[in-house]
Amino acid sequence: MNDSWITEVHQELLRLRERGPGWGNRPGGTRYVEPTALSALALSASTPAADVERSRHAVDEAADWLARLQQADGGLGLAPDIPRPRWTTPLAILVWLGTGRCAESNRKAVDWLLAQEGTTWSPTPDSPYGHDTRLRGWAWVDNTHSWLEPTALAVLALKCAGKGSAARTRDGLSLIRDRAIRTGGWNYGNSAVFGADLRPQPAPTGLALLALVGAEDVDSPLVKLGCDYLEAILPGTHAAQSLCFGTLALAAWQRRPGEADQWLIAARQSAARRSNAVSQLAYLLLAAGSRALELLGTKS
Amino acid sequence: MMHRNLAGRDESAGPETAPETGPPAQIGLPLWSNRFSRRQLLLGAGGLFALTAAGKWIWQSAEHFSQAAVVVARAESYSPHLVEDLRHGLEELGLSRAAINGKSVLLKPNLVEPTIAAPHVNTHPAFVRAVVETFRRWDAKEVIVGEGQGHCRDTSFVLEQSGLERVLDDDRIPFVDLNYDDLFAADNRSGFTKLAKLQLPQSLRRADFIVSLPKMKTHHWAGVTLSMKNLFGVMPGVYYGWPKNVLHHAGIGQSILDICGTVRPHLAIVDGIIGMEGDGPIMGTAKHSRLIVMGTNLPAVDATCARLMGFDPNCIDYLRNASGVLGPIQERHIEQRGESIASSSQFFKLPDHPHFKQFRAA
Repeated sequence: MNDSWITEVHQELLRLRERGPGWGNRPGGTRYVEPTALSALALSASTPAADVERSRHAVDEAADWLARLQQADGGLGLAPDIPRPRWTTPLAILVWLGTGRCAESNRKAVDWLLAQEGTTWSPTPDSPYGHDTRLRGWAWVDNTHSWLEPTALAVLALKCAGKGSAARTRDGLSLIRDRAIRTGGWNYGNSAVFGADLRPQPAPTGLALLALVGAEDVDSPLVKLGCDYLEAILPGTHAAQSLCFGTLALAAWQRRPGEADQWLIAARQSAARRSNAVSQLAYLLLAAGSRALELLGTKS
Repeated sequence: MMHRNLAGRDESAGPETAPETGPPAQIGLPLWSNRFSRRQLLLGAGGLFALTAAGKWIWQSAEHFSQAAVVVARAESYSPHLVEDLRHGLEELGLSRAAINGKSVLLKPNLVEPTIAAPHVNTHPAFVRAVVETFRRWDAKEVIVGEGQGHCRDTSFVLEQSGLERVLDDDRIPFVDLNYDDLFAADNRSGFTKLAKLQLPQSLRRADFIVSLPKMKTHHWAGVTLSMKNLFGVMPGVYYGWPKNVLHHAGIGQSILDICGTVRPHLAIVDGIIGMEGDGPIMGTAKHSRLIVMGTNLPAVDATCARLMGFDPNCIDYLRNASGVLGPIQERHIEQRGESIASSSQFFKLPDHPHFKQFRAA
């Protein structure tokens, strides 16, 4: 790995930080929980050659800022003035566990997460959906159906918090298995509608495969088809989120391609140009970090 | 047949009310007839025959007294000639440099999900490029492309797979990710759903001129997806999820009307050069229909497109409910310019499943 690249992205991310703790979706915008948590995880995942203390301080401040945003029942909203929805809570848990800070906040957030679930219903014989609508995962928004990404994020956070054998974690894993697309991989959470298999996408596929570490064997068709899909799609993309979760999942399943570092480096230029450069750079830095799998609780 | 939506409830069930994150804002065009929504009329009637009759008269009058012009143009392909075709069409609508000069224009294409293999899913990048060029030639202050796609959180991947990323980079067109923009709360001006406020991206408020650039497609829940349904993509995923499940809870058709009535875009230009038939909006097959449809009233544009696709707009719930509230949908109230419907209409197939029968007249 080109370490100077990692150091440069560290510094770039620190430059993009808003005054005080936290990051916005774009420079000068509102500070949000998601880019702040992603940036904190990304900065924690590797050690730069310079500005180590500054980087560590920014991460600690971010963790503490997230704790200050926590609501009485343990959940976190999108931003200080946007208390709902609260799908960002698993990201805060990962930050607190990764930094070893805010233990009480973390405990409350885990309890809150264990109590959440998406809506379910019994399928009818003419149901157009390919998935089992009775399975209980996590939703983006309270009182809506469960979807793949919030469920995978919740499973990762719960496993990281030592709740891997909790009933709710097992519920989430069941949902992830059920939402796999027959031909391989995952998308946002609809595997088939009206009998048509829908298309997979790399970021949800990566997240699902990360969540399944320890719950599936490497020879499982779900894992094999998912990894095959990622190996086919990732070489052609510069998209940071897809590269991040895709390459980390392949690494977690011992299939990280030798070219993965080059993909991340090549994606850096286009990432920095985008209006949402903070998240783009954070995803790339997280993917490149030697501690990333540990932070996501998937280090074998 | 009535399917439960993905919320697991029927579509009349309301979601939680959106919290406010800022003052209510005015965006888009004025709502010319928001005094009498269907819901308000029905409530107002309250079972009293006289009031019901009065409400019905007002309702029908709203459609009766409204008129809108829609231009139908032919385009064989996504060639550089599109810029001229678009300019002619817009001039037919009475638009000109004077209307655009100095304005900030926001274009909202339909990039619902990432796929290289099925380019007919998304508004064609050459179509977006041609619209940008048209407004730049008319001296727009800026032309920005914005999307908040519903099926994929990784916007860069969607841009890359759709082919739009290269056009944005080559032509230096700014792009805003509407899923991750800063938010503001707007009053729900139509009230078809129970959502009191709509959380919207700040970029809508900054724009002087909002243009919906949909693909001409069938849609397995809504019947057709055109300039009005395309507006689901202005709703921030960070707030409504991926897919925008809160809006499914609130009712897809009702949400379309509320978003349209609140955002009030100034113009719609439909990419029907290659559309989609069958199991739209993502799994259908390409339909080379060689059409561009444009107009300043979105229900009129969409009703015209529906006719061109072989649908009766009165069989499409959200169009029927838009009639008299957001604009005209009856053929007699739409002034057709350019190609005629009779000479341009084509039959967009639907899947052979009982669910789809509701979208076709018996």
